[in-house]
Amino acid sequence: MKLLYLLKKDLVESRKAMSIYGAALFFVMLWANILPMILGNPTYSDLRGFYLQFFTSFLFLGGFIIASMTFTEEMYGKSTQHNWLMLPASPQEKLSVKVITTSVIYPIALLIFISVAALLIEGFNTLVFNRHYMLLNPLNPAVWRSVLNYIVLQAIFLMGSTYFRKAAFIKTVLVLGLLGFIIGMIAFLTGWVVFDTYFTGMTIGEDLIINNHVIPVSSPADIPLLRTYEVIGKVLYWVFLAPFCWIVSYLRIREVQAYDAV
Amino acid sequence: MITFNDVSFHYSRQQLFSGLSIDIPGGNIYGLLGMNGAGKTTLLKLISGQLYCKSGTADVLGHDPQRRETALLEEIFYLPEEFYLPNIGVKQYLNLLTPFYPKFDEKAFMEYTAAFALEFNKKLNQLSYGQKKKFLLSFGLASNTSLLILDEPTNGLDIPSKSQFRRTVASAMTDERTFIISTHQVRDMENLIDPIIILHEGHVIFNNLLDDVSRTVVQNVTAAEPDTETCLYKEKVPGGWSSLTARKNGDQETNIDLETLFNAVISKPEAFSRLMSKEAVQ
Repeated sequence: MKLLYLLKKDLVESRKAMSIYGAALFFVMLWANILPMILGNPTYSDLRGFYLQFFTSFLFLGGFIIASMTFTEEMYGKSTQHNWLMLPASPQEKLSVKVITTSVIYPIALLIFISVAALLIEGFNTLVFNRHYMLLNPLNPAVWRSVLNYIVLQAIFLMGSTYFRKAAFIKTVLVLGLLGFIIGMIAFLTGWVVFDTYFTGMTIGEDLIINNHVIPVSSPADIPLLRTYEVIGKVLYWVFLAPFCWIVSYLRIREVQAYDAV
Repeated sequence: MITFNDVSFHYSRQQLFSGLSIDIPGGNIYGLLGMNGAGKTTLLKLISGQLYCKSGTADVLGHDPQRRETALLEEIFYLPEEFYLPNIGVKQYLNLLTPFYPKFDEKAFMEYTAAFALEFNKKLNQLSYGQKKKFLLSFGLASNTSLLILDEPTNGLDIPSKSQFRRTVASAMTDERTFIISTHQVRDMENLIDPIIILHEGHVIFNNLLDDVSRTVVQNVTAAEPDTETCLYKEKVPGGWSSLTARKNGDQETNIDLETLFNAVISKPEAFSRLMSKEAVQ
């Protein structure tokens, strides 16, 4: 019950910001859609994939930005932190509501919004230009694959918003870039050591390039250890990454104090 | 109700409390006094769980405030000196917030807001600072929480509202509730706060009922300067000298001016501590 109260409070208080976001989204969609119709003939692939691309872009970019702002304002704002800390709800409840809002409500609301807006815009296109873009199919597996990936990845940005008091999105991206570089280097060095026997050399020899085609020394599918790593990677990504980020966020929410406000 | 035992707290480099112990039983309107930077707001934040003690133990209404449990937060309403109100109407605010305070009394809220002459035709963030404060004060009183913390509640209130504040707070007080009012405006709190807690240099140097103070010291206003050796404290006032002296047998009890008492305790904490502990023994 308390979750519902918190959810209601969050939605009502963010109503204005979300309305502005929705209006901006609609007009960007409208102009991105109509301009090619006016300026020239959009290609078949443009007509086919427009809304799916639009949905995916705003799901990830918009969603990550929203997730990055989730805690920064309330938990670290000088004037708002008091209300956040004193609101009679546990840290678990406060986190759960934010997770539900950013990972479930946002993608569903975006999907509904783009589907409905697409109907309106394409009705207009059909009347004026006598042709239209293909509507977004909410049951398209690509949509739900994107949503699943989004749910996993947004947890990282949500965690970032519990740690960074300002510019959380940029800082999270920077940390991810840095981590990616370090992990990449470790993977590269480990691969060099572990899979040494599979390489004929770390540089591709001239004899492996035939008619400008690089012939792989060994296909990854042929290397059992690499397959194992692939499975481990998938399990870590799909099963452990998001819960790990949520747990770390919870621990951070529990330890935040009044002097953390900026 | 509230017990702090050997608590220490510091900001990054500045030590604020070291070995702070305090016991605040329920059922009173406490006045928390102290000079700027004495740590009044910090103490209130430690009580409400917004800050964590670095060492020592804290117990508030049977809970560890650091855990910020829902059961404890439901029993605390804290009106800070600076606050934020969202861009929504009064009705919507009540609709969103009252479910979090199970003992909230909407009828009482309407009475308090009427007493403060508040009108609800604007969004909350469009109200003036004083109106916002009166709104939150009404909300806090109507929430019926066991602990109500008010940090400088009369700052920003107009003169009629200050006396209304005293009346409203006094009317909302019950045996089950405890109010802690931190203030510099002791004149605004006269006849309202009792006991008085004085915080100085990281320690509670005074925690007494005004009745006990009146039994122990007397306040006199004389034209001539009183003898320094016989009085505990003296200060020049228009028309003469105001002084506090230890009450002797036969001396009549006098009303003690809070501002004079505060200045006296700050200037001679040990003398007052000895005097008040004698009174406690008797």
